[in-house]
Amino acid sequence: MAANNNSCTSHSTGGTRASLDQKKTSQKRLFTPLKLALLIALGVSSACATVKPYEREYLSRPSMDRENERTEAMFYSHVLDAREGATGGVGTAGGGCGCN
Amino acid sequence: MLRLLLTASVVALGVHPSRTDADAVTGTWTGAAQVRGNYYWDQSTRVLAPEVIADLAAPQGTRMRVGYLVDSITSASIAAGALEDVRFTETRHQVDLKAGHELLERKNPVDLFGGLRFSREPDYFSFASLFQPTIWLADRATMFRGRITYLHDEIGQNFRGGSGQRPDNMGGTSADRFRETLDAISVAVGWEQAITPTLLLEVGYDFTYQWGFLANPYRSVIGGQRPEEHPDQRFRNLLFSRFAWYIPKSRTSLQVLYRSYLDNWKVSAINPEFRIYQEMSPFFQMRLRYRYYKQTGAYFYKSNPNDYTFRDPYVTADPKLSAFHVNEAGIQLLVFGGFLEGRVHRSIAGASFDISFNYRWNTNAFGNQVVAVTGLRIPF
Repeated sequence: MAANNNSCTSHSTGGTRASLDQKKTSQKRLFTPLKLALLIALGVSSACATVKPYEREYLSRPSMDRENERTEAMFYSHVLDAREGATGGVGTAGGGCGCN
Repeated sequence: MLRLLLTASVVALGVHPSRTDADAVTGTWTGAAQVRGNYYWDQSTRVLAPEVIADLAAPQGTRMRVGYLVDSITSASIAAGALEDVRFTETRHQVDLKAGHELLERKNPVDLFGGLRFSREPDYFSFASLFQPTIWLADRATMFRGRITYLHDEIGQNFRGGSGQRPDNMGGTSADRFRETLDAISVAVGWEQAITPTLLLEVGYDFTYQWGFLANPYRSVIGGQRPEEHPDQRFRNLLFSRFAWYIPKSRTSLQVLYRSYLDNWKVSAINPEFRIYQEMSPFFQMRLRYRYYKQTGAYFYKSNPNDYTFRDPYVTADPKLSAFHVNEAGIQLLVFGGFLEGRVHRSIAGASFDISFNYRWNTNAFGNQVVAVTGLRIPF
């Protein structure tokens, strides 16, 4: 019984180490993209200061500005709220269409 | 005086203030009126939703919007309350009131925007409020936006067809008055960055907490013997991004949008989208889009609603909680009235007309769907 307990303990210690290692690895996996995203964000934000107002002619084209599609997108969002499980949350108005 | 009357009448009609050009130097108020038509179709439901929107912008940077939408739903869906295989039609009325003010005199301009929305139909009332602050940095090359939204819904039942009365197996007798509530708070943050004169990046995160009655009051399982019952809380997490590239030589804009989603019902989803905007002339633009959507099912979803038992804590017959995917393709044509400059009134020359058609190949019980939208916007 004791042997069983010992083996159990040693096994569980090994298991704990393994799970700790696994946790560290998964944390590294999680943080690597986060670090990468942070670096990209910092790089991008420092680089972008160079885009002056007079250089933003193309960025202000109707096709580049999402605000121009906001009204069209409202009805479309309503449809997605009613037909997809991974959208909305606060955009849904009305339940007769089976939105819930 | 005439302008004042026009302004008042537009507000009374219900108006879109997104892109108006108020003049601070002359003290001129400007605005735009929009008329829109929205259409949705699937095998059991058709929605026709005409909409009127008016926008006003004051010279000091304040803008307002009033919108009115009437939603006519024709359905034979059980999820919408049909008791038998008959179609019924009901209407939903929605009013939007929004206002914003941009503090232009600051080194880093700030915009404060808020709004209210009311929606009513025979079996549902919804109220939503929104507050959205925005700040621009680095000569407007960088934008940070926050948004907080609160929603309160009141849900009832209104059975159509047959006796028109609530079936006894819905948890009581037809004399019972069904009334439930649903509340939600959503907090979102977004960052938009001009990377180069032709590249734009946008990323954001949206968290929503919903509590209350999250099921559908009409759906049931086990041959109609048990009403749908969902967990009464839902935590939704959504990451979204957009990368937009403008190619001056061909006057083309290429855009990639990506969304990923996860919630505590174990629904997770990915949603990439590709868009091409092509300026055919200074007055004519075409948009082509392809969207893919794939989600996993909720942890309590069963493909056969009759496989549930009375001991299951949660039961659902909702197709949008199943694992499914959607392929979607769409086209939009946008025409600006500038080619009429000098020949018609300047409002008509400044007008724009858009029409879009989207087809969705959907693999769950809703089947394939069509979404079509058209709109006319006239500035004044």
